[in-house]
This record gives sequence, structure tokens and C-alpha cells, in this order.
Amino acid sequence: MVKPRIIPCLDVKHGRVVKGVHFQDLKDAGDPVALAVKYCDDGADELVWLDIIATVEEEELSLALIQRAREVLTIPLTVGGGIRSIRHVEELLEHGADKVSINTYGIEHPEILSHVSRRWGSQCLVVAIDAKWEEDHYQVYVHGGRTRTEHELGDWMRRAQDLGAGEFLLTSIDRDGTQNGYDLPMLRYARQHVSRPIIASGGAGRVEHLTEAIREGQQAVLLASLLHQNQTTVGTIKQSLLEEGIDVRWPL
Amino acid sequence: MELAVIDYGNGNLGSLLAALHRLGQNPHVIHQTTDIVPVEGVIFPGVGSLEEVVNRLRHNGLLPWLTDLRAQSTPILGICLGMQLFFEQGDEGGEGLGWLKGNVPSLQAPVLPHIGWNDVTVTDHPFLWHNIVRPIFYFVHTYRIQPHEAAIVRGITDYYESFPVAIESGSLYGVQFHPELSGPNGTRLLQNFLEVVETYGNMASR
Repeated sequence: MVKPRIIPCLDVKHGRVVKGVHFQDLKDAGDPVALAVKYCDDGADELVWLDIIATVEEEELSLALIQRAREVLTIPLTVGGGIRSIRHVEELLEHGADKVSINTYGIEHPEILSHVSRRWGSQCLVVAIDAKWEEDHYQVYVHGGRTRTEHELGDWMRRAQDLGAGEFLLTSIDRDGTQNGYDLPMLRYARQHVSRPIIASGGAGRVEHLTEAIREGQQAVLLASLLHQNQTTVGTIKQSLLEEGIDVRWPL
Repeated sequence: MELAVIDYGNGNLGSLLAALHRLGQNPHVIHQTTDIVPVEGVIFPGVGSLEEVVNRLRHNGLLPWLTDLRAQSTPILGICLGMQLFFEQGDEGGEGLGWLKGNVPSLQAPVLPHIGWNDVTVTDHPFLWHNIVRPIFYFVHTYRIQPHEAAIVRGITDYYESFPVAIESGSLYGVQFHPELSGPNGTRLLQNFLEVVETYGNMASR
């Protein structure tokens, strides 16, 4: 059976890794290429690289860094953040991304999702969604969690799947950066709406959080702050999971 | 070594080319007939859809060249869709090259694509498994092969059902997983294919 994927996430800004709480208070956490290589060597099953891009210069810097990472990485690399055109997707793939992750622009311009999936196959398209509990339902937010959209989570996921999403990266705004554990109720809810793999994101603070998500059948989990603050390594996490009887990829 | 990587026109060969560069290779990327050079080995990468890729190969005039290479027993490695291409028919009516008898149906599973690292149970035939102690590889696919001849199968994987993920038939080698994304195991498998190509090249030049 397929093994649960442990996926470190690099949030990159101005060519540096950053991490904040609730999408704010960003702190410098290192050189993305060096960190990507370290995660790969430590046993990461895949990497997600989310770029915060505002200018053309930043886009060029980002492409150069992604190419450098690709030259040394022997595992899959998903790149996202600020994708606003097919040309940008083309550039990312040419510079060595295996998949692209599209969030805000996919909501504003859903046709980009079908373009990407038609041209490169849905396996190439990760639809990233940030959502948050509102009284009695989950609502989708964009612009790094700052802007509320009109979409309810389940509705948007089904639509995105129809448009060609090959995978989802679902971040709980309520849990992101809190290290209080993944948003299991939200993940359960999401699972009922789509048949694509879902990467759980937001809230991992301890290995037990991964264990409980994986035991529930979650096939992929994203890690960020847990790794950035040098609290632990991917290798240590995987060893703990193995001791818990979870069949992760090991040895590498 | 003169190695060709077929470019179906989507431009996302980054990981495969990077993996080959790390192994000291500088492959020829072949997109159309004007790119054609004499080669000792070919890799069919694994991105796109069956129907679209065969149409591209036909449209770009590469089919006669590839058919000749196959007739000359040039080693050819198909990765993921690149392996599915060797067979006759896909689920959605897309046609493959028909080099091997069999179909390419969809996997039967509640969550698709099958994405992630999975164990491969290998057969005891010699294949590209040399020096791979624990065969775990990275998969991304919705379709799988269903070869008519069981004798060509070299490995099997489970994802809600059991299915063949590695085949060898004469000079054709195929893997459903992505060696270029499969860490040290994948690197070794590519290295093993390059050794097959090297042996073939030496024989051909004699």
C-alpha cells in the first residue's frame, strides 16, 4: 500500500525561507536550496515550495533558486505562490518543478486550472485552499488568508476537481502556525467531497499530530514550523512514526 | 554514451534531465525529426495523456525513427506514461504504439491518482533492480498497464488492487513509477539502464 507522505514546506520570500503564525509575523528561517537539500537527505518524501512573489525580479530570483534546487533534489517538488499565468506555470515546469500549486488565482480565474490540467495532465496540478470555520461551515479565503471568498469549502473542492485538480493542499487558517495539531474535522469534511489526494496543512507541532492524522487515513501531511525551528528533523519524525507502527518510507 | 530523451512538447522534463545530468549524461532531447541523431538508448518520459502523446509523436514525424530503433533492439526505457505507450489501447480510447499486447485501464481505487511512495515486489528475473536492496519508488498515475503476456512482468505493486509496475520485453524496459523522483533507488535504476545502453552500444560498434 502507498506510504503516507511527509512533506516539508518552504515558504520563500526574497529568496529566503520565512515562517509566521496565522500567515503573519514572518521570520527568517534560512536559504531555501540548502534547506530543501537537507530535507531531501533527511528523508522527506516530497517538497512543497511556496513563493511570495511581488515583482518581476523576485520571479526571476525564484526561478533561478528552483532550478538550483532541482539540480540536486531526487524527490518531487511542488512549487506555488503568486502563479498568475500559463506562462509562469511553463517557466516553473521548465525550471524543474514537477507540479504547480495554484490558490488565489485559481479562484479568481478558474479557467487557469483547466488549462494547466489539459496541457500537462492533472497530476501536475495541486489546488491549494486556505479555509476557516465560520459558525456552521468552512469558508474559503484567499490572499494568504486575508480575503474572504464567496466559496464554501466542499463546493469549491468539487468544482476544482472537475476543473482538473490532481491533488489538494488544504490549509486550516485556524490551525496554521499554532502547533496544536491538524484540523481533523476539516480534513474529514473535505474527504467526503473529492476523490483526489489531500495534503493536510496547518497545525503540526508534535509527531503525535502526524500519527493521529495518518491513523485516520490521511495520506499526506505538510510540515513547516515544526522543522524550521530546529526542534526536530524529518528523519527523527519518521523514526518516531515507525516506532508507532506507521509504515513510512524507510530506509531511504 | 548517446542517449535520447523524447520530448512530447510539454517542456517539463526538468527532473529527468537533472537526474541524468547527475549520472554524468548529457542526453539529446528529441522533439522533432530535425533533432534526430544516432543514439544507443532512448528514454520515454512520463508526462501527458496517452492519446495526446501518440498524436504528437505522429505529428512530429518521430514514429518511423522510433520503430526503426525498436527493430534494431536499441534499449528503450519507458517511464510511467512512457511505458503505457508501449501497449495497444487506453481506457478512454487513446491508442498506444501497440509494440506490446495489452491495455491501459484505469486503476480501481477510492482516491486517485495513486500518488506517493510504494513498495514493489520484484520477480527473480534479472531486470534493472541490481543494487536496489529495498525497492520503494515514487508513483503518480491514474492508469495502469494490463499486459497480455504475464512473462514480461518484472514487478508488482498494491494500491487497492495488485498491478504490474515493471516490464521487460526484448530491448523494451518499462516502469510505472518515476525513477527520477525516487531518491537513491531511482538513481540506481537509471544507472542500471545506462549500463544496459552501454553494453548495447559496445556491441553495436563492434
